[in-house]
Amino acid sequence: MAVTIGMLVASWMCVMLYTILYGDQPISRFAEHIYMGTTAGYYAYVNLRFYWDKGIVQMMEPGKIHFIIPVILGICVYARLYTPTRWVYRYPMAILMGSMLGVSIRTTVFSQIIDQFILGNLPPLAPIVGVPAGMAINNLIIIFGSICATVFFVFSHDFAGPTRYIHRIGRLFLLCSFGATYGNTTSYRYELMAGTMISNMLRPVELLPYTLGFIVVVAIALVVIFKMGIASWD
Amino acid sequence: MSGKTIWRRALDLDHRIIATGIFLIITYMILSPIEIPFPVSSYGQQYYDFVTEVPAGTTVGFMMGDTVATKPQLKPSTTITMWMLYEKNCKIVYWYDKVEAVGLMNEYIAVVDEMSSRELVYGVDYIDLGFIAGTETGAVAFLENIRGVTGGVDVNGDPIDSFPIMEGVNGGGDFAYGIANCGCECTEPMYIRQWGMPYGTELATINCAMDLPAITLYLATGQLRATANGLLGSAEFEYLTGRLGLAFGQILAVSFAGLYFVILVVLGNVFYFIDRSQGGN
Repeated sequence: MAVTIGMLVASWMCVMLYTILYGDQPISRFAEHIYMGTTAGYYAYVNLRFYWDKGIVQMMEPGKIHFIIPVILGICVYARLYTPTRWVYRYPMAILMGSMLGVSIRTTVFSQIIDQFILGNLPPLAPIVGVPAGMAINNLIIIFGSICATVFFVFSHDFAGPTRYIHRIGRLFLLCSFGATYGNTTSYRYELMAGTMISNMLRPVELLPYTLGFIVVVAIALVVIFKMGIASWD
Repeated sequence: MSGKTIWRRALDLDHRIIATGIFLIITYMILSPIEIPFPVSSYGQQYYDFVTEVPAGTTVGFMMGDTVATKPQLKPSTTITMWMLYEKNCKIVYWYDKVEAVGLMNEYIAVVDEMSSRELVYGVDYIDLGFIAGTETGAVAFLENIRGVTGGVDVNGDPIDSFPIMEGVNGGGDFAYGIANCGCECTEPMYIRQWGMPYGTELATINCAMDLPAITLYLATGQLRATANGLLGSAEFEYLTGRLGLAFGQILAVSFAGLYFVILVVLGNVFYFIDRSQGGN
């Protein structure tokens, strides 16, 4: 496969971005600023195009004059960029937050609270008798863990005496959950690194010599930067 | 002499050396892979069964919210899912709630077109309804009234009613099966509560490994039918479909990076206790 300019830029940028691991210095800052700038520009373009296509163009069509409301609210968001009119952007944000809360609460109560308890935590849909031993134990742990973890968030009661154990067990279940999340997060970071390397730096094989060249150049530049005191190793 | 034991000096190892170690391990494993056993997890099997279960000719809703960062992990499971559905003559309606997916959509379609045994026809086999802004509010409005939100046009500005695939499709309830590639935004619960639950759509997600603990509950209750979990999910999917590729190559490197991390944690604890027993603090 032929090496394109796009591949070279991606490889070069990745090498420069990874130098952040060696401290805050001009190389990683330069790459970071380019990355943030291009990303912000791209996001702005796509969102503005959506605003144009689904807002302004629709508003022009017969019988769709009511689209003027989201179009005006959309303009108000950009008032934030100019200090004297900054306060204006609070109105569309308030409407956005309110509507988002409204549409999420509508279904959250059912899908994340009631149905979770009925389908996953309570017999007969989470049976503990008449099922294989493994499933029964699993269901028992889920029922017990859910109750204890919920009790942990009861702040209006001082758990003393035997009830304090329910509180402590609830904390243990929560810690297990956080541990699993942390483990998956770590795994994800490795995946991210391996994916970036394989897609942008090591493959196709023809790109490899260029990547190694970039690493050497960046390493030399880093040594110079640290030796000259432009950035500190410590 | 600083008075530090060798164990304390090892514990104080510069994090940059540790980071370089991970870099070298990942690079070496990608360039010189070795063979290790590869068991398929219940999540991988469940997802494979879900895609296999979709009846031939069904119109499937596909929220393609992949991002540039998650592309190396999720592209294999996404494209193989698309390919498996097309092999069964299924039709797919695409849309996305992430800006970055705009550029990825055509790339994925091109990959699937190459994999497919037949030529895919736009408007018949698939349609791209484009980027839908607004995250949850946008998704709710879109799933309630597709024509209302898109203005009745696809990503190219052509009227969607001129395409046979959109006949009788105007909301989340018109998809018996749905797949949401949520990237790494943890939006799976959002699609469960706004798409799967209210419309009764059989829903599966493609997501990064970080999101798994958040969706395990929904898998247990059946509110979510299956998940392709990150790079591992992609590798398992490649393995089960016999199309080994990008993900399978990466998973080895990630496994060894994980092993390196576990060894460091174990050594760190051992060194700490030895140092303490020798009078360190």
